[in-house]
Amino acid sequence: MWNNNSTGKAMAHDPQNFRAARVFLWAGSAIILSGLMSNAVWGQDPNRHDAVQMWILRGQTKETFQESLVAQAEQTVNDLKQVMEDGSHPLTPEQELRLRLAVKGVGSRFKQDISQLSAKVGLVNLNDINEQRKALAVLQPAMQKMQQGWYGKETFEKIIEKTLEVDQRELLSTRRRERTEQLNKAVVLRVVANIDTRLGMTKAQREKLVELINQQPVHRAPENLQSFVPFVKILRIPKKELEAFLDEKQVETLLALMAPYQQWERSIR
Amino acid sequence: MKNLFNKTSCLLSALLTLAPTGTAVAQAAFFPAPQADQVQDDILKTVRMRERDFLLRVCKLPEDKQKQVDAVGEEVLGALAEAPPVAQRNVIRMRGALHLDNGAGVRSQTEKLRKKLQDKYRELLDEEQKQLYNSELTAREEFNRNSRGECLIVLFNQRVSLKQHQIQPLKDALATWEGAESLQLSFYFQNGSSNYFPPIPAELYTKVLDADQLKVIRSFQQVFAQRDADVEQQFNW
Repeated sequence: MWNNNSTGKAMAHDPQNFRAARVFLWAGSAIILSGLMSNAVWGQDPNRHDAVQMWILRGQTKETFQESLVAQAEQTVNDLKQVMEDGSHPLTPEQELRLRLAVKGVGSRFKQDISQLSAKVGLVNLNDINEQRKALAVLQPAMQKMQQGWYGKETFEKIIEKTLEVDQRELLSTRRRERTEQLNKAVVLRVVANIDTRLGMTKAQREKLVELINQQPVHRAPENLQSFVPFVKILRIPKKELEAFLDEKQVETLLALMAPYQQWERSIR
Repeated sequence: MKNLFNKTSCLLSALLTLAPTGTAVAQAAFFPAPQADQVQDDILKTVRMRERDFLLRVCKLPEDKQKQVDAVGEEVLGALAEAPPVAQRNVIRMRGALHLDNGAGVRSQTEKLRKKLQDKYRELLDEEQKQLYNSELTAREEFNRNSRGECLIVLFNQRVSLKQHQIQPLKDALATWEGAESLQLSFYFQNGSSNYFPPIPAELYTKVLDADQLKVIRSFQQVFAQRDADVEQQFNW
């Protein structure tokens, strides 16, 4: 067909090429039509999406998601085992077996829940707000579970509580409290380092500010406001105490920086 | 016809080759950094004032020396302003997706200014003052680096329970991660129940953690905290 002597014009007038073009056009139309037909038959509307995939799995497959949940549950048991050993209250073989079985349960419960949700919600039309609302209402409890940590964590924590003896439970809660305190102290250092970029404090000033922040008691802070605790603590330091180790300009800058956090003061006690 | 076919196939193959970088290119083209040079100027002026105040706080200088400090500051800032504005934006790859780090240019300029100012200030100080100034600068750097390391170690410990021998090597490696500078990150650290994990380069911790711990880390949702000039200004004040 593509010989050296043929020009474009000559090719266009060749009846063989006409036939080839017709075949090509018919084949193309048939492919497009069959594509449209299959969409109609199988209901593959491009606007319809798997709601569970979109809002729960967030792009992951069911298998990889399940794997990551099991990994997190396993990590929790390994950590617990270590804490108990360090605190001279090691887990008994029965306790460990029960917890390892619970790890498996996390995976299978998730699989079961996801299958049920998929059956209830299925595909959702993204152009239909009502359809989306209905789907979200069904998925809401599962989404809330995800917000509180890994899916199934709450149930797993209950199993841990039932499995441990009184002494072991106390040991675990002490260890967790210590970790939270460590975290809070580390965050205070980070906050002071950030404030320092603005205040240009000397070594002694930084140390004093850290000390004063850590002295401020906080008895109750909602989970979602934990991040604001160091700022609220700074706001609670009496101005006179700040003036004792910071110069006038620094105090003014610090208070201006902390002003937006005043709105959280009532909620953090 | 043959030429047309060749051209089309070339175009198609070029498109397919460039597809992975498409997101970043599109972002760069359609979302330019907002008034980057103005924001940058403001930040540099503020940094200059902060460095000046820090020096005067550490070393009590007489009035004539203070005037020299101001003159040196103006000079360094002026020299930096004459250089063309830096609108450099790094493209960061994270789990296959590309993100823009708009603050990279401002950060490098800020660092340059800080170093130049400190060098010039040292020239104005006597030996004793220089020693005091240097030790305060070192303490400031150390405090910053340690606080980054502490925060990240606690985060790792909370998420994957570190063993004693892992703590120091991990702390040293993580202290080099400049992403920890962002105040935004410490907000996320506080949320213990969250699945959030900052986008720390994996090479910093893969050699220290064991296979089980890495499996857990991979299961967390990595959130990219966008750092552009505005965010930089807002969170680093």
